[in-house]
Amino acid sequence: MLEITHKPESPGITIILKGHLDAVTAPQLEKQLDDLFRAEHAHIVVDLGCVAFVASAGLRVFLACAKKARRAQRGLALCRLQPQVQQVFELAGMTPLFLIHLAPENAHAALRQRSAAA
Amino acid sequence: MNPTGDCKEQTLVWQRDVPNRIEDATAAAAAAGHHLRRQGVAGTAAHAAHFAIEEMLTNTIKYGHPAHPSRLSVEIVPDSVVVRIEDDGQEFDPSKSPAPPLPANPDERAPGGLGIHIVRQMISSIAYTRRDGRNHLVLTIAR
Repeated sequence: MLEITHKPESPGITIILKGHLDAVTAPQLEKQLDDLFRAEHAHIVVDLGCVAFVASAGLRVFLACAKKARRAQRGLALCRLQPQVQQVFELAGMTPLFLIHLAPENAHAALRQRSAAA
Repeated sequence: MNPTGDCKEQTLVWQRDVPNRIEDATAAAAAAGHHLRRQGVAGTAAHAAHFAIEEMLTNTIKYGHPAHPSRLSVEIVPDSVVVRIEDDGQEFDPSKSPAPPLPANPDERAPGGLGIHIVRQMISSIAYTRRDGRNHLVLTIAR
């Protein structure tokens, strides 16, 4: 089970996930993220504070999202990774691919700064 | 304890037959993790077992095309958790699958092979045998 909610944080948006990001729920997240990319938010922050489990299917969604963000020149950041989820990202060698922050407000601030500097 | 006082030895083996559907694989993996936590196994080991079972079972369903449900068991022994998975899918030895390259540029990343690569780093040993047309996998996770 994965609950997906949004919180606008102009000019970006926070996506708040709750539950498990596994082989069943990863396609649901992928679809939501695609919709958000189409909606042209300047940047997207994914809040993983209430996600206790991320499988490789979940990592692949984030990887695809990182590629889309690069292509569309949108900001993407992750925040509040639980220790076991952080470990999965590290073992996959995926931490260098993302901006990872402790709190969503820090992630938004970093993305705003980054787009202002660009 | 029962009234006669003879105390049967408890064997802590948790077992499931898992149908070949992603939903069932994912649910069985989560249930195994939950079982281990309830038995007092540390969170790190319970999480590693959950992760390893999810990856191995979904991999078998996607690529091994087994005809019958996979047999999953989880056993708690003094210093480790032993996960056994048996299936009648195509022969596949995950202990021999090469580590995927992990370039820092997301555009150069191929999506495959990531799950098994992570599992192998999380667990202490992986043993594979092919017997009687079945894959037998034994994963040992330090507690």
